Amino acid sequence: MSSGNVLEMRQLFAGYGSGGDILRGVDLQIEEGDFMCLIGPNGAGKSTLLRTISGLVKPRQGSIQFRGQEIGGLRPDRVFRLGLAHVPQGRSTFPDMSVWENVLMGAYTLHDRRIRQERLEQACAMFPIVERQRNKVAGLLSGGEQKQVEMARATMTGARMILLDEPTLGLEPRASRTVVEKMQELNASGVTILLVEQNARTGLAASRTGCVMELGRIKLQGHGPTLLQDPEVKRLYLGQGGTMTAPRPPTGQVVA
Amino acid sequence: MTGAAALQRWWPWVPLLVLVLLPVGIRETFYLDLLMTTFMYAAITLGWDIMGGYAGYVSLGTVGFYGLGSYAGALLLLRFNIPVFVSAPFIGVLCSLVGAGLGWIALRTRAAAFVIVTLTFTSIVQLLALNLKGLTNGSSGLYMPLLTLPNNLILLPFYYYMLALLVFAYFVSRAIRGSKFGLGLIAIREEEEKAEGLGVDTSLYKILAFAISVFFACVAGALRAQYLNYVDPDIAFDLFITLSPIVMALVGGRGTLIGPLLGAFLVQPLSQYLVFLLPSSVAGQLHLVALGVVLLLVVLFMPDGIVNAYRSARAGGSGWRGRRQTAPPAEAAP
Repeated sequence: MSSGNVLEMRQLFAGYGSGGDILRGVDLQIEEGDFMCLIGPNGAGKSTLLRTISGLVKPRQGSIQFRGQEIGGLRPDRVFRLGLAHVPQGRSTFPDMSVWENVLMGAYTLHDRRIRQERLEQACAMFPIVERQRNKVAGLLSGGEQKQVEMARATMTGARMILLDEPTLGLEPRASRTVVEKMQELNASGVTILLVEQNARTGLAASRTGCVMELGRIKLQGHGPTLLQDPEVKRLYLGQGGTMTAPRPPTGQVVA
Repeated sequence: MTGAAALQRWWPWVPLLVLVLLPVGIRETFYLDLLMTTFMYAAITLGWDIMGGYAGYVSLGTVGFYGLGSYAGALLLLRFNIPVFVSAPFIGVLCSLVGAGLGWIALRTRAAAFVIVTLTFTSIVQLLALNLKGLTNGSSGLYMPLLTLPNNLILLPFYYYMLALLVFAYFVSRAIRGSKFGLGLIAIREEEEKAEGLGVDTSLYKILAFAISVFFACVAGALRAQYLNYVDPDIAFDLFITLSPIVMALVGGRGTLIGPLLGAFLVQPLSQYLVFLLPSSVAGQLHLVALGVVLLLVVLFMPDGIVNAYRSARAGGSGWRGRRQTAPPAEAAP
């Protein structure tokens, strides 16, 4: 609709193989520079939505526009080249490659050495771990460190938008706090972020806007911290509508 | 400091120099023949490892290309009078094209199908050699004229040609390992879908890697045919030539530059030495058994080969196998 939206989905349907639809008419707009957190119960289609956007799953119906261009059904590498990176669930580093090689893989389609060098420096500045552990084999890093390497890799194409699928899953609290901070730093540097999070409280508190997905559709959408106060969200995703500790306000935005 | 740096830079040339000068001192055919076959296997193994080690696609088609090279060399000599020493590189290129074609068919699918197709390819080429009697003389084979050289020198051109092939294979492998192409191949080995997602043209890369990888087996086959002055379907398509490079790469370390070299220089002399040592009535079988035992020991205690085991011991890690085990299962669909 307006040029302020970096990503727009209309009546999006998708599913796997010959199975039924997982996404059943998703309508969602994400503004440039937003940090949106997507929550919802298991099986709501959150991961499928990210996989459909990044081209791993082909949409059956509807449209996905990234910066005004239709990307529904494009191959994953095409979508990636357009500046939309996907950090999937679990660990997705190349475990036998060094940290440095992993980050370089993000610049695979980049042929301009100068730009590549620039991006490498930016990535190192935001993710010091890349420089510190550059020759270490990525598979030997801890989960949180690997997530940071993946995020650094995602920035290498100069991605305007990054999709993150439960990046804090299985991380110890301190590592997950670092990952959340890194997401906010990335966002502060101008990258639009769409985050899928099981832990609704952490996710909504860290983000600017939030939306709730249920049975393949977007059910609620709004300001992140406000959604935290929504009685229904409270009841469904935060466990009980009773008293709860006030959410931590978004941590101060660190400028990279 | 500069001494150490110079040493670092130049040490690979020392063994090469020794190998170049060796025939001056050693005249015994047994040792020169042994070294020559070792060079041959090392070159084939380096080639195999480009596909099997870097990209992680195990080919069982090595001897198919080797045999193709043998027959091509023999036929070009007999029909068109082109010496094998001249035709060998061109035969290699030609076989690379055949490899690209086969790759185009086999590599659009993933792992397992590729193995089967390469094995089938070997059988098909062997059947053709056996049955196209007008061209290949069937099971009687083709005799090639001897080189016109004195008996004690006849081995030398083969020795140096194979050594050159080995050096070439080494540099090709090294160039690939240090390039973006090589990084792409390793990404394919680690996770093909992800590599594709990052913009690696996986189909093209696999086909290219396979085409390059079979070049060395073909050239070696052509040279070997001339060396033996004879080809027939049994010699040219001996399955041993498919299996040895795999054993060598596994022993030395798959996916490394030095591993295939190390493996070939350990396994081939060992296996030849056993043939020499054992009574001739059992030698032909027993050295194969010994090779099997070596393979078993390696798989049990050093599944990633000598080079990788050494590296992870130095890094204090648990080696490839350990890391693989800690890797999480593939992401589940929601």
